[in-house]
Amino acid sequence: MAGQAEDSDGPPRDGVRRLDRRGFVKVVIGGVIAMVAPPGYLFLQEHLSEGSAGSNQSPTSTDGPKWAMLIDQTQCIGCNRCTWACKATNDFPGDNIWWNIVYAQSIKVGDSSRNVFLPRPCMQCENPPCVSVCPVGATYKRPSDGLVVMDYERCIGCRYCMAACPYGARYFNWAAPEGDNPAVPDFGRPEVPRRPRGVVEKCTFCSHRLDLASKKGLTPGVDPEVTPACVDICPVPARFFGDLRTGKVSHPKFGSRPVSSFISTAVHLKEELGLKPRVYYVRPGGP
Amino acid sequence: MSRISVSLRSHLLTVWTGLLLALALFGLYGAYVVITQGLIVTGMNNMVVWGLWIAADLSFISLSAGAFTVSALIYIFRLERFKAIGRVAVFIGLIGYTMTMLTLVLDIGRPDRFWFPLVNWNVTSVLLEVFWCVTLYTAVLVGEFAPTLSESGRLARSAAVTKLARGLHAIMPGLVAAGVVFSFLHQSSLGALYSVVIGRPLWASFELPFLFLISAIAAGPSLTLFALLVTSRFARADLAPRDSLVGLGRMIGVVLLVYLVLKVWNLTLSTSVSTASRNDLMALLAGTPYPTVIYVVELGVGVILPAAIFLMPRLSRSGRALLVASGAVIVGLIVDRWDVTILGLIAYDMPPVSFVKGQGLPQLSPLLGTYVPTWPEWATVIGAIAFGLLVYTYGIRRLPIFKAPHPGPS
Repeated sequence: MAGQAEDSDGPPRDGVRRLDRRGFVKVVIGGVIAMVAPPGYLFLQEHLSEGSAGSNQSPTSTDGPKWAMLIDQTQCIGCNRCTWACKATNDFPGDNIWWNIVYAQSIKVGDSSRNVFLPRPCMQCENPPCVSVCPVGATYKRPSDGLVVMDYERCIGCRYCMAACPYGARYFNWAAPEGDNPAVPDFGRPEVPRRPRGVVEKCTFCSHRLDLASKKGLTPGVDPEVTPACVDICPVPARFFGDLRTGKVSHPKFGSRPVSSFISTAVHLKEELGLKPRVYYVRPGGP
Repeated sequence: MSRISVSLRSHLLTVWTGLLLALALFGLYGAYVVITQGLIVTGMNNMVVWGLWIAADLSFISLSAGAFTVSALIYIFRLERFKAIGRVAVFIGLIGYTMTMLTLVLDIGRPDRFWFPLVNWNVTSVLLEVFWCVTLYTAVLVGEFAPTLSESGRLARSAAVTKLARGLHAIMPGLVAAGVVFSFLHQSSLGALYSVVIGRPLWASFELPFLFLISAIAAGPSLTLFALLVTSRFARADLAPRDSLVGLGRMIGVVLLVYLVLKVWNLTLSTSVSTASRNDLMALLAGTPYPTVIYVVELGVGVILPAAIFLMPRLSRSGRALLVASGAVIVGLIVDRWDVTILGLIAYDMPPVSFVKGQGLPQLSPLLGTYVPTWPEWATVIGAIAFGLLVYTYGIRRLPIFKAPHPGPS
């Protein structure tokens, strides 16, 4: 018993000496790795997320569509139809989830003040922070067109992507999505299955509609059934949608606007973060 | 040198065990509610997506850092006098990581998919790296703790177990080195988890990984120290030589001073891509109790006070002073992990503040969200802590964890 107790106190005496040098080398190597790891990791992270649009897990093919949305704040009347059409089409019943919302704000113009509206779908960033933080790759850029979409079967519900999104455009299924959808049928009908409890979800630019376009030979932005629901329902020329490669974005009722007419003056939300959103805003008021 | 388990007075032990058992069962009930009803029962929302659970997990992991720190002092720096406290440090570490995993499984929306990061890798994710390092390090802790288990009860009489334990003894320095590497990686990456989130201005700063690592190196051994002092008091015996406790305290004191400098830098001078919004949010927070909490509780109570006690030779000889100091570090660390997690989430500039800077655009005010943990969150965290204390209480009584106060004739 005494002998065992002695052993228990650490490596046997002779073992200590034999292992000394090897142990020391291991320690030095381990120590160096450990010291460079935190800054090295940050550096790596920054680099990888910079290149993530092209080089990360889902390379965007260069000849695929470059979907973009133009939101004209000078035209938006804040009717919220886009919010409700989105709710009906993408089918979220409760009031926890809103893929597309419209913020209202009062601004001063001269002596009077007036309301301006800021509709906010997913920005469909070219450098999406939600994609690079997801531990399991449940959020990814579609190889075909670079849209940021989710694999709801893979999401573990850690919500890191929600913390990472600077636009608050991600929503979690805190409870099971049950009950009637109040937006149906007035604002449309569900076109995608509901997501289960415990996963994150987000705006897809109505990717299920875009996927129909090539099958049916239709053009998103022009033909209503393949245009995102929020653009489709917009009663004023405040939302346009299209493929940047074609040089124009369109609305089914209000025609098209050439990309050249807004590309230099329209802005992105939180431009300074360098995420390269695909949603362009025409600012309210003028300089 | 022989190892002993601890005997405690029986009536006190009954009350203590009964209380912990009740709290653990309460936690189990909370977990049942969470699993059946979903995270809707928590106080979290689409803006404040992490809450008490994450703050608790970060605290558990940081406070478990005594395992790798003390092991490194013994097996890497070869400081023999810390041998007496090596086992309790590793034991507490193992308990802490177990508590973390229990809480984390509840926190993710799909507990049934907790193993997905093992097979689905997104290599750019800090969280994936944290997951792997925590998993691997827990395995290392099991290896480090196995010799202690092998010496107790029936296991000690098995030849195979003894042989295995001998093998583990032989590779212990390597195992400890691996543990140090994994610990450095994930203790720092828990801070990097926040650093890389450029859209959350109060998180996006370069210093966080270093702050997390350094504070863990101070707080982990503080918990070891605290546990030793409290257990000694109840066992009515000195379970570790006083000079090892004082020495550990001195190390913690030095680390705290390094931390203090970096933390103040982080609070005042840190820059990032989000600096402008960061300043806005800091100004917004000025109207809340948080600045007071950060400077008085985190830095005053949690850093300066204990550093002073640990580093003043006259004070640090007193067991009571060491108890106060190590307790203060623990409190400071828990408050810090809460503040970092919750502040980064509740103070946000969404809806988006700026389009392009300096163009006279409408400014939406930064917002202060709210988060109040609900009872299932408290129940499960308290339950996890009670579970940890139960395992500790059982372990120190049944396993040869402490060095005998009077060394046997060996």
